[in-house]
Amino acid sequence: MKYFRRLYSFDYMGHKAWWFTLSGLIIAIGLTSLIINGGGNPINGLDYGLEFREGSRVTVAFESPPSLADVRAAVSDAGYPSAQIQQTADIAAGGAEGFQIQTPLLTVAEQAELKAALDEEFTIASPAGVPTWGIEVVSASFGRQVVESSLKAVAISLLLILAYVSFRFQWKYAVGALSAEFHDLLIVIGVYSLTGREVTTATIAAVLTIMGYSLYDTVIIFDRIRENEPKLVRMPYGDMVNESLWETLTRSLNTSFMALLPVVCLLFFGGETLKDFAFALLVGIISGAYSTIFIASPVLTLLKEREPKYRKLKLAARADGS
Amino acid sequence: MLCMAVLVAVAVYYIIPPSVKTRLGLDLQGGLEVVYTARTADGKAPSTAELDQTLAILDRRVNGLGVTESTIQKQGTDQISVSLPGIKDAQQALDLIGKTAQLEFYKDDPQSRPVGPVATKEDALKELKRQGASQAEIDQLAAESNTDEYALVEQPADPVTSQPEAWYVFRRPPALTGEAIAGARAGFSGQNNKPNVLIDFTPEGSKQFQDVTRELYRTGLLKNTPQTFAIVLDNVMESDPMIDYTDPGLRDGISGGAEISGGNMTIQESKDLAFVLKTGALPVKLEPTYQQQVSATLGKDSLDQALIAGMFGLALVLVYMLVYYRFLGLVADLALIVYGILLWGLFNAIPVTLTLPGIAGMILTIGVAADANVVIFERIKEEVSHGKTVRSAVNSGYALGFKTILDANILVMLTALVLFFFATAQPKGFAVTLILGVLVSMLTAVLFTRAMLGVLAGFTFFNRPSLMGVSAGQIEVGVAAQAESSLAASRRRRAGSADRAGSPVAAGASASTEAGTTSPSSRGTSTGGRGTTSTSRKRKKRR
Repeated sequence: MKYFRRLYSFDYMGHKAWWFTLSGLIIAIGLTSLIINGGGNPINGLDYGLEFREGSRVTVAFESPPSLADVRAAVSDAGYPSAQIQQTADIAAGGAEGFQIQTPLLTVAEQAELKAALDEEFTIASPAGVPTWGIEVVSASFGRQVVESSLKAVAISLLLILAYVSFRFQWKYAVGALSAEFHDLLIVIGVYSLTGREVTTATIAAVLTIMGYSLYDTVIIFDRIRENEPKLVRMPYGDMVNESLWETLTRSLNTSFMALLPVVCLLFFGGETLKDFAFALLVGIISGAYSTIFIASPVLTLLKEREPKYRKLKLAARADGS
Repeated sequence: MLCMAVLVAVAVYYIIPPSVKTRLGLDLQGGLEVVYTARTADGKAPSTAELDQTLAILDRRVNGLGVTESTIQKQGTDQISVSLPGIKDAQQALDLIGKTAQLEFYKDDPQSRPVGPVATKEDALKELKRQGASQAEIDQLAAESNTDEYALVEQPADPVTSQPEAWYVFRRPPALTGEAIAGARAGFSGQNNKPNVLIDFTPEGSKQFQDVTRELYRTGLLKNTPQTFAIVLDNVMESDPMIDYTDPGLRDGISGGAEISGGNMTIQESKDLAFVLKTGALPVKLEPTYQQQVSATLGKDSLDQALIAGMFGLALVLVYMLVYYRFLGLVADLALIVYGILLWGLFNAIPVTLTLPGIAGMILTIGVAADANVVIFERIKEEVSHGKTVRSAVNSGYALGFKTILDANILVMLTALVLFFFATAQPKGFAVTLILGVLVSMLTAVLFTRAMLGVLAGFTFFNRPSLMGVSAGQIEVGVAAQAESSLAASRRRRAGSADRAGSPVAAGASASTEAGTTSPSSRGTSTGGRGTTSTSRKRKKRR
């Protein structure tokens, strides 16, 4: 409780260098991991999901669960020795064991053949007469399209954010907010590289949400700073920002905590796809809450303190203190 | 308040019963989604007209499959996505929907058929090259099977007559195209009782067909050898009927209709063929670029998991709000439940198809909706701990809090809109939920929370700081802290006035932003609305 109270009087802006170093370190670790995983090329440092490549992914459940080796042998016999096969406990399709089989691109006819072959070997579970057989097929051109549209979406959101914050606040606020955004993006990418999690279209959607959400957090504090700026006009800028942070800290903590509650539930109870979402959101929300206080606000302060008015105030305060 | 009640009632009407009125995406109820890339016969990008025509034909085909909630959409300039939630026989759908079904009749004479029969595709191309076709033409034929001048046609091996596969090249244009067809039905051949497809021609087509067959009859008579013609569907020879020149009944050609009797069609195959011929040929070729097929059991599992996660998430947030904000928490909880009902109702009313990413978006907006209340309440608590009465704190806190969440919500909406316009299918569903969620959460904050607080502020029991989760001690601390911080500030600014709000510079510079906090006269006007007017009216009475 004592430490808790200290949060409300801590000089956040006075320790800018520490926060920047800490974030820089975390990001550096992530980037290093990207470079190592990618064999020198950071772009290859992530495990991209099927949607970004070319191939097919079959999800299937069998009547009497065979062993992984059996399935592997059967798929190999069907003509796909290079297929990657995973057992998924998540598919509790009537208690049957689920498998995920990743193969090269399958045509409609090849899909039917593989299905028939597996059905003959192990009998595909068919509750209510509908076989438990799902398949996702992605061609290379579609994958390229997904990558392009995702990158475009991220770039355009960043530009829009820049424009809107500049318009509603001031460009210095926008730079602060964008620094926080980049920080969050880099952290999420780094964590994905470190944990080796698969990047799917769900991840992209989650990342964009994080950008919106982290910004949400930032804007609420910036709103208070903007409000306090003319009120505490004689205060050095850093002190005024500290004051604003203390005032909004409860809200920041509460909001982030409440946003995390459902996300953690998704992580525990959601299926495979939802877990993907939830993981990215979890990392993003934590990083977003952090970056608001420790990146966005210090960057804003840094920029503002260069203004002659605030530089004078800061110098005066320093002279006062000594 | 009344307005809110009506909205909730309407929403509930749209929700009950959920199993009927909520549209589930194919990832939740199982189904098939295919994204096709369209190419013209010679491999070029299609025109808008061709794409629209394709869309209409696909629509007919999908309706013929008996799927109720199908959606067929253009994506970009050359893609079409077909979504068939709840479809039972995905394999059949895959076979039928994307089939070009380009039916062509060729005369089978040396003039119309420069090459064939030969054993392989390579042989056919080599032979055509020898006859003087350009390399570019050969390459295109190898890749697309069609050029402006030639069509490469395969005749599959026939296991019954043990005839091996054969390849031909026919010269365009064909004697007859699919445009001559008026209808098609599956039946049985009169000769061997095998399944076949009977084609009815349009009046124009019928005449053309008669001309062709008459010509073949005469040529046969002249050369003293029976002539054949080839019926080709999507570059595969379906049958090559012979015109018997010894039958004088054929002297005037064949009128009425034609018959396709592939060597050993199954009944299902003949039905499928009749179906695609009836719905018309696509003006383009469709290549599947993305296909997602989810089985019903997998879909149901995902739905259950998502619902459990959502319920738990909601429950935790409700409890937390109640514990932390006590009475205000109760108001917020009610607001959150109202929010949930409204959002769900809106989803069903539009209707938006609920997908897995959509549910994730919904669960996330629980956090955003709760936050709108947190921001407002924190503001109110702040105002109370600055020594204001609860009633005036509610007014000014609401006004200031709402201003804050407005900017923040607009930014979330902006990113969601970008996602909606630029991303592909899956994240799109997520974006829709996010946009609607933010809109509804703002609506609830404006209509519900504000009205509730306004009504409550009229009661005397409400006028206790402890209800806001603020203890008496905190108020003093708050007031003292405020004084102290302004003292510190004033010491720094080496000016005489200690009172922050009273500082002339501050009050002057920020007249617009802190209207609610500093000037008592503007309290009523800064918020307005039902609740507020009732309070100001009361205040007047007491005076």
